[in-house]
Amino acid sequence: MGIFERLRILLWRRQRLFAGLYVGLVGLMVLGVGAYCLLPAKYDAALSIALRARTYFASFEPVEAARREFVAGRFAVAERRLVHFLDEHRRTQPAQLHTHAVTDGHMLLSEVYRSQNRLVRADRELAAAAKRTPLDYYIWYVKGRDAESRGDLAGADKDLERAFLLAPNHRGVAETYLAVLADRNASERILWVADRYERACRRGAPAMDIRAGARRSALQRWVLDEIGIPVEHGRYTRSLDRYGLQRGEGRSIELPPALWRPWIGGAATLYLQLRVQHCYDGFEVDGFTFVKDSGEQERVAADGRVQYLHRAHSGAEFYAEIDTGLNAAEITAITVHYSCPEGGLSEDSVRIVDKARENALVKGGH
Amino acid sequence: MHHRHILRDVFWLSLPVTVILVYLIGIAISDFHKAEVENFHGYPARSLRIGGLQSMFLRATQSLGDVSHNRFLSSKGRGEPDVVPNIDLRVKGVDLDALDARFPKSSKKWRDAWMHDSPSKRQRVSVHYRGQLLTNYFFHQKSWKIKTKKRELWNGYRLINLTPLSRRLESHLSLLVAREVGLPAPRARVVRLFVNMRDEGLYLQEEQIDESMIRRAGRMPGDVFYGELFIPEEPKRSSNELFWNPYVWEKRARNNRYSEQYRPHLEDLLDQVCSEDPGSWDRLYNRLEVDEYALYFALLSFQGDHHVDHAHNHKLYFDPLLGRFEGIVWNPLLYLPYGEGVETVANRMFKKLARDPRFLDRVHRLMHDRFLKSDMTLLQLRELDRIRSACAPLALDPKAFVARTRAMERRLGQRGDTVRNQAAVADLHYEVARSPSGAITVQLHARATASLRLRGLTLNGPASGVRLFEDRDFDGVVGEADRELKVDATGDRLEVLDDDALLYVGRDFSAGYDRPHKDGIESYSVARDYTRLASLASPLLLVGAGATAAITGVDAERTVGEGAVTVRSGAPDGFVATETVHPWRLPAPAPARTYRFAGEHTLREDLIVRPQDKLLVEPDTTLRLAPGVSIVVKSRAEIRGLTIRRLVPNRPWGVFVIQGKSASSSRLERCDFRGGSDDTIDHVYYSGMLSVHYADKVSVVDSVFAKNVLGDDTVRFAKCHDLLILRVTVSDANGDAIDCDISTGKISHVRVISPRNDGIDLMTANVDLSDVLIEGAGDKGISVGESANPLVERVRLIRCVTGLGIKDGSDPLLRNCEIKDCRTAIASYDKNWRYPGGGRGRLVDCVLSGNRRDVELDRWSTLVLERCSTRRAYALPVGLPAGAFREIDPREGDDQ
Repeated sequence: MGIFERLRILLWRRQRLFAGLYVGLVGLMVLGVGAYCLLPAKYDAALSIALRARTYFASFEPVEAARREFVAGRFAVAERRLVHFLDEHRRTQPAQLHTHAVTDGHMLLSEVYRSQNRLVRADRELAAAAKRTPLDYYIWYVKGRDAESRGDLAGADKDLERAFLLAPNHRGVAETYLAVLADRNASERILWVADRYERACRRGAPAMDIRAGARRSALQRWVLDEIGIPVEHGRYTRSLDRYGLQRGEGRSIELPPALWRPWIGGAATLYLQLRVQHCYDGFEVDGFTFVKDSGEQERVAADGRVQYLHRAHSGAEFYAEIDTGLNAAEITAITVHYSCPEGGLSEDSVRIVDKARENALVKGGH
Repeated sequence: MHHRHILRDVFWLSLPVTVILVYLIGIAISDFHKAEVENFHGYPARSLRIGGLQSMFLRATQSLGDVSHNRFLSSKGRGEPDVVPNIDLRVKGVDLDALDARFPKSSKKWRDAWMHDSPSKRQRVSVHYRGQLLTNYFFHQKSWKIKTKKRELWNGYRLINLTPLSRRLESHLSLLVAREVGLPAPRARVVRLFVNMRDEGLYLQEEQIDESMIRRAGRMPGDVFYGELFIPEEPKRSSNELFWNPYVWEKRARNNRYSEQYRPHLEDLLDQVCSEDPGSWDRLYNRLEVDEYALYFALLSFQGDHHVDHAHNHKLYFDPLLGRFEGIVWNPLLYLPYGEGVETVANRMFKKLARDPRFLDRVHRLMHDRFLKSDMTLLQLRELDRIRSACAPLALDPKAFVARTRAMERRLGQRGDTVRNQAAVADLHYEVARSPSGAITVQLHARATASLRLRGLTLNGPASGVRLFEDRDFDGVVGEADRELKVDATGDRLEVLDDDALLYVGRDFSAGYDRPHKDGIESYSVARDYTRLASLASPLLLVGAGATAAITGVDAERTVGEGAVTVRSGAPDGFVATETVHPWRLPAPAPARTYRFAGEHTLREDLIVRPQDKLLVEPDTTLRLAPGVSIVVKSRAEIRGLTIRRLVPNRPWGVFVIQGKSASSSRLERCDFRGGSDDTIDHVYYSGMLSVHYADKVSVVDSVFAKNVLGDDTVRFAKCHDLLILRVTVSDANGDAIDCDISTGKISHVRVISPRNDGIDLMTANVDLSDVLIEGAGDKGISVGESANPLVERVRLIRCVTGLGIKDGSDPLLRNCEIKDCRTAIASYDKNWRYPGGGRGRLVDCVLSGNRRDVELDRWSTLVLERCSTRRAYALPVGLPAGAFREIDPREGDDQ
């Protein structure tokens, strides 16, 4: 009796068990679909976030695994893993679940190649990443720096220009670009970059979105606790200052109670959301001061309770979720303390600009 | 055995259900993973916009249970074309599959299709799904973009944008209002779409915002910037804020003089938007076409919109003739049907503008005159009614469609009531105090949509000898900066005689809009901001013998609208202005200047005569301009006898410009300009040595213009009406001698000698020509293009490369003209696809002699020669439609 015949007889004998399982499974599916259809939309949205978040963060796993190999010095393994991952997701489009993971994969692979001095391949990977997310200044920045280190000044000029146009108030980008332009003796472009940088620093002051709220629903709490993803806790207040803060060390800004008090109901833990944009060069939240009903002030340091949720290289914005651990109902005033370096070019870059200005004067004189 | 049969039956009976369930769950999971994602706040959230997992599941079930929606052209018939036009699209099945293959990329590739206008007439088109959000292409009812071939426009459109009407109802109504009040806005209409004979339901057809739309709206082609940062094809990781980096804006149409990357004008605008400098408001108004923009802002406020926000839906047109931006209306929604929201401040630009009470005055004056008086709410309700009665039977789900229109009706009504209630508010609170200097300070807190006007004060005692000052520096002491108001004291009453004693109003910006649950929005919401009516304090100072701390009453009136002002003493109740900038804190307007020229003068710097200034030129004045120096006159000028020459030989001066409405009715007489060129001033390129932009009734008489270099034109009129060029000679023009764009008027008794390009160039201009002589033009003697319809009489065109060029739907009428010794006498052809139909034209009693070729037509053009004398040297294309070229009662040519 062949193995298939034996299996058939076994299945025949156990058919009642299998049939029971089958019917049970179908019943569960019907019940599940039915129950899901009755689910209120807000829980459905929260469920979507939770599932999305799980799958989204899971999408970075292969890249993180490769990064661990890379850090441990096992370049070949890291390369193999990444090549396999990228090949698997070669059809990923610019706005899909794996897009950011794939972009990170390309970036890491280029780093792997660069560490082995395989510069052409490193550049190819960066080009692939840039093609996928063409509006991410950071990729163009890295690509431009790579081109500069290879001595390809024309390529560096092109890539750094892209980076500079996307992040015109980024000091690092501006200075690297100025250095490349100085090597190319492009005086007019140097003056153009210096002017653009100065104006963009004025326009692109860091913008901070601060919201306060109390976490409420069980599902939201579950999402937060399980996934670590900031579901909007109940109804956050609107932004405090969307359009720009002053730069400088040790600054603070108060969140007016009228903005957030009405939205916080009974006793619940107070949460703050912070979102900072347009500041690519070192915005730091130093801490918070909370004033209670009793007049008592409590200073909460930013570290420890702040969860930064920005991709390391995006630079475009950072987003933080702060579990204050305080009872929202007791708080009467909130102040945020932050630091942000003043804009401005380094001495070397200023020298480049001055020289370009002299050249322009000489040309004009002639 | 019995049990075995039961189990087998259970298996076979439940198998179909299982297969269906597995299929549905599989499709839902696959769609959930395929659905577009955006890293919003650090987590992927895009799928939430269409309702999360449930929407995915609904989509999975659609293909199985959507039978009721499958209405076909053959069974149901077409709709009444008069009421709802049909669009009948035929796409191959493989192409439809290819569009659906891998969202969103696959849906954006053009696929071949046919569009049927009638059973006998069809045309080839390209199609793809349109829209940046998943809702547009993910569900059963797709949004479509259809593109025709350039020379086969469909009802004048090349790009046909179709979105399901139920999703665009608000946009349709807002665009209707926008067009009604005269704002640049795309045209929109309701159509019914059939794809492969299947009824797809009602759609809104919206015009593409591009150069064609700009031209149709009567604007000069210029840069159109799209502020759209919700584009899934290009996930934004650098910023989601439009108003700080000009390079995140996309140029959709451009002034072909500049590159795609050229945007210093936009940078200048954003500089002012982001600046806190008190002078930045006036600089911003200099960069905006402020009346148009106030109307645009009034529309958004009237509709209660928040959708034009910091990240998307902003479309800006840059007028190359004025150097100013205008807003183009795109997709406003009704976000604020009720509550206290007055204006939208969902982006930096709106916030900046709403902080200035002077701008709010403009907005609410327009709101009152154009929206409330003409009852734009009623207009929208009527349109909704019309749509409901005409279109509801044609909707896929008539009941749901009617319910949607009813809900919209309610929201419209609510917003209309809200706006009217806000407009009815006019409160004034006054507080009196004695300052350390001894003056009496009266704080007047005004709260209304637009400023109030102070009419008088009633004192507790005789008012004679009391002087009243506006405390413009807010220091409680009468100083140099403070303005004294003219008053008339009668008894205890102090009557204010100044009409500009305004009590400005402010806004509270600290409000946040939280979408309530009933709006159907769940946890996904972004910060939206709006303004609330708030009190703004304007301090007055009373000094003099009779000034006492007791004031018993204040009289004020509205500057906008009707109704009394409620006056109370004491501190204001309600909201107090938070970020409003009091106009007294802004720089005062610069004083007017007079520029007087007589005899000989040298100018080494540009001279800009602003609208408030005056330019006086004595007869027979000579100006010598340094290289590149230009004169821009923005006020009405009467110049008789002005000669302009180069200061440095061989180095040309710039341009002489008359610009703006305030320069209308200017007159140049006995002018002689030589050796000028072109110039760019304040982001405006002036191509003519004499350039006239946006000034009506300008006349140029008995003048000579010669030997310009570099510029495209010698004399250029753009967007001018009733222009007059009389007894003028233009010689040795570097490009076109006289160029008229989008203008009307008359050119008479003019001589044009040896221009390097056209003698007279008319673009969309109805400028009549009479008694004109054009000799030796390097290109066309007269070029008539882009729907220009001039009357041309007694004109002689001699030794030109082409005597008369007729292009792009232009239809000139020539009478008693002579075209002589040209290479081609008349060339008529289609050049710009945006103006379909080639050239047309009619020549009556004209003489065409000595030309190498008399008439040259392409297959899209038509021409009629009536009693004309020609050699009959015609170049007509093969396949020219019958009757396209006609000769009526021809006369024999002299040399035949």
